[in-house]
Amino acid sequence: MTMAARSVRWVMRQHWTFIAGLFSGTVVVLLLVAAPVISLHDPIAQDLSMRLQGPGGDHWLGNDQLGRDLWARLLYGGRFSVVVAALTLFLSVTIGTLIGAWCGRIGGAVDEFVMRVVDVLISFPEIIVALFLIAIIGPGFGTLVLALTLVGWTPFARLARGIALDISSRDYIAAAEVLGCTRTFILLRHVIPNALRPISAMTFLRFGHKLITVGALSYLGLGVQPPDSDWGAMLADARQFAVRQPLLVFAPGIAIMVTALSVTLMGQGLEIDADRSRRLRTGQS
Amino acid sequence: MTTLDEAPCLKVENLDISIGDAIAVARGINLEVRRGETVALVGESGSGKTVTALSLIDLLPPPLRVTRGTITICGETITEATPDALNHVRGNRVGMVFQQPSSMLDPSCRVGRQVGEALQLHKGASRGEAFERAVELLREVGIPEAPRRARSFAHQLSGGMAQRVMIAAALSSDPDLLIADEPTTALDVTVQAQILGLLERERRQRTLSILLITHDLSIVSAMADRVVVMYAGGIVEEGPVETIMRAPQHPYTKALIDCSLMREAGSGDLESIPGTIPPPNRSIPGCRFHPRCPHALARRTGSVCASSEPEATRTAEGHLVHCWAVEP
Amino acid sequence: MLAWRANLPAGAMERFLLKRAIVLVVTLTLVSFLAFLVPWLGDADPARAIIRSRVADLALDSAAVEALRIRLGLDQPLLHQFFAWLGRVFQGDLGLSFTSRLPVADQILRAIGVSATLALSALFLALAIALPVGTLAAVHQGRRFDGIVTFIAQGFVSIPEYWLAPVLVLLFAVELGWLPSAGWSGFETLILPAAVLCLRPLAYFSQVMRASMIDVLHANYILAARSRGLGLAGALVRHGLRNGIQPVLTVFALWLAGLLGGSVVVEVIFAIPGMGRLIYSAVINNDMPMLQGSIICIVGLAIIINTAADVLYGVLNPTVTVSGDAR
Repeated sequence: MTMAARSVRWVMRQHWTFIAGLFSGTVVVLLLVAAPVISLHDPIAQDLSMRLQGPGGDHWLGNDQLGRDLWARLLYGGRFSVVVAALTLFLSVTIGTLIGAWCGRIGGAVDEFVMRVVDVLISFPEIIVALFLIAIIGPGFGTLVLALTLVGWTPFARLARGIALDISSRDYIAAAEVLGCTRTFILLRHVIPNALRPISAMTFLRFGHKLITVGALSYLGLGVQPPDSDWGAMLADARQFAVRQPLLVFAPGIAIMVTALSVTLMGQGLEIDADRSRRLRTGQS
Repeated sequence: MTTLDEAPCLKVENLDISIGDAIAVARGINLEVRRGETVALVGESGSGKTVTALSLIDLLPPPLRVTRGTITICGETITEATPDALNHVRGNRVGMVFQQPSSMLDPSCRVGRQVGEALQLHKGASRGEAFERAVELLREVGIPEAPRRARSFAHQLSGGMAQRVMIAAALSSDPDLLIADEPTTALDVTVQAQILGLLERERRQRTLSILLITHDLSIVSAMADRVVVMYAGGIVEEGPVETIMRAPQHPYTKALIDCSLMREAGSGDLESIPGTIPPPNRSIPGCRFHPRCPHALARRTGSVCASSEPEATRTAEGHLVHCWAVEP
Repeated sequence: MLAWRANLPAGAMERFLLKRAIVLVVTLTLVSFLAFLVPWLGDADPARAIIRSRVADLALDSAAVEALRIRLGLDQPLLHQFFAWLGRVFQGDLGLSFTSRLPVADQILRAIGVSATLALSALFLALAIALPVGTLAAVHQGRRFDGIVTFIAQGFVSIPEYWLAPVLVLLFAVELGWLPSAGWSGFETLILPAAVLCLRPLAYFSQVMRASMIDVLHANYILAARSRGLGLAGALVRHGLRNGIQPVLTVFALWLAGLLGGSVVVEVIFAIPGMGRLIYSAVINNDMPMLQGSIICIVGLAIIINTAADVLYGVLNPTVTVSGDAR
């Protein structure tokens, strides 16, 4: 069986929420990637004669307060938030899983210390960390990624540590040790595959929140910096024109919601799958 | 000790229990417990004893449900009762004692409150009265320092103590029938004897009827007046405890008693019944026991055993036996 | 509380609180050090910034600055200065705000009160809805009601506040004129922000409640309670909720700690003078003393709230063994 056929089969076996999320998520990503092809206009080209025009002609969603094409701005505007959210999550998962698994593996004082740090950080709002970092090193792409990763790794660390502890208490780990495998090898060999499902579920479930936080910072003028824009910044710009042209408010809002919801649905589907496979593994009914 | 014409405390007729609509877990159960009588429902694990017990007070966990038959407790037809009427029967007319006493107690609620709960519900007792009565009940079931114990939590009690608490709770509003589902299985041997002694004492003091569900035949001979033997969801034999233990008629009952005697005698090689109890989803034509039955395997009747289900036959000893090999 | 303590090993509660107190002090010292370093991380002259944070008079010539530099000990080694600063912090002196020229501590105290009111309103609103909804979803597990609740919860999580808030303002304040669009002057101004803020915790609480009640529903003690004559609803109320609510309370504490400073967007949009807006304007105005004070306050409160939640958890659940790892 080819790789593609196997993937399709795997997808079809998942919960319907995963398939629904995957479908709409893929559509969003394709639109964002293909923005230059699909949009007929430059997202920053102003045309004051077209200010606050409704949909019509080749301006499919109309124009904003500076006469810029809303559809084009929507497509390009998604790129910033989605890339920041995805990159942050990638870093958080990698760092968090490694730290967590390592803590579960070595235990002792280091483990205790790291987990206390996690305790403190985990309830710390990402947006506050971001604000502090912005105050110190100024706004920008790097600041956002750094700020969101600084707190974002903690839930993954806790999860990975839990899985590592759970698995290292199993009999087959002791058996593998008797056979002469090093604990680190065992960790990589057994913990990572077991952790894959719950961690990927958590990754997808966290995406929406990251996306919304990036948008929030942009909304406050501390995220994306002009001339670039994103959905949050578009919402901030549109606020005073909401009554005259409601589409300016609704379109970016719905874009954020659809994107966040698609990924969350995928996460929920994966979580159901992870639960199911855990139950199969541990023999619970 | 009881007369036959008195209305039975519990009467079950033709009861079928299924998972959803498809898989039968118990079939054609007929059961009767008279006033002041102890009836033991005996069988291996997986024979459908616990499911039958839960069905009696209509607390089967879905998707298990009663698909046919009637259950009558103290004149109330459980199978047709409204939810309110059911709540009135539970705890008030019927008390229930379960297998794992510790997990049966709410971990974050004081023991005394749980013991007095039925009084509050059924006898209109105030919270304070119920608690006072609970302390008395705890003393009655042999819990030392009852006032202090009534204020403690489940995790502070040993298994035997927890079971005494459960018995006190089940008896609090003076029910007519006590259903005890493997009440001593999870307990130490010495504690087992104490709990059984307690049940026996309560039965005499209150003229209580007890349906004792167990897999342990040594308990049966000590406690029961009558025995009902279940196998794979059906009743195979029923009769007075003395004759059942002395002269079992059904091959399964015989095998069960042999195993138990062997164990008590401490003989080196344990006799066991060949094969295992079939899971409910496997349909077996004829007698459910025939694949493991020495008669069916040895005798010419083997063909009958494998093709049609045996009807109940009343034997000379007064047993009701479901077996082709038994002559009336 | 007493019964709970009676069944713990002697001194376990004291050890637990001591451990948490140590975590609190160590973390706060570390955070304070970071906060203290903040002015040095910027590019302006830190001494000048600090002098501005301690002296109300803005018009200073360079001679006066030099004089103050020595008087305030800014020529001393960094570590020395840190301990001097820390000493002032412990006395409640967080310096003066760059923008308002008022003591930082007073402003933070007032803002924390506002944020706590807002956060608690939103969280209790969320709790009041989530407990019954989560319980019902658990009772109807796998059926349509459950599916709808889960889907709505995910929808709520996906709604950005900075979209919902303006839309609600547009609807209820501008179009219908029922509620004020912004401000902080009594109950009416609390409704819209609390409604916006409660959606996300509502979604989380209801899902946690659902999962926990599913466990409770299958618990043996519910079966036993029903065998005593309680109906399903009665058994859940008397024996289910108290056990099922415990995980929700842990999440509640996390949210409370998070919202005390984290409701930036809502506070900015509705012009609510809470911690979030205080931090936001401190960032915009580069108000270093305000930022330092806020970090210390928020971290300290987060630790205190989580410790309180763990203690409360122990009171509700007598079987819990209290230790640093209890979660």
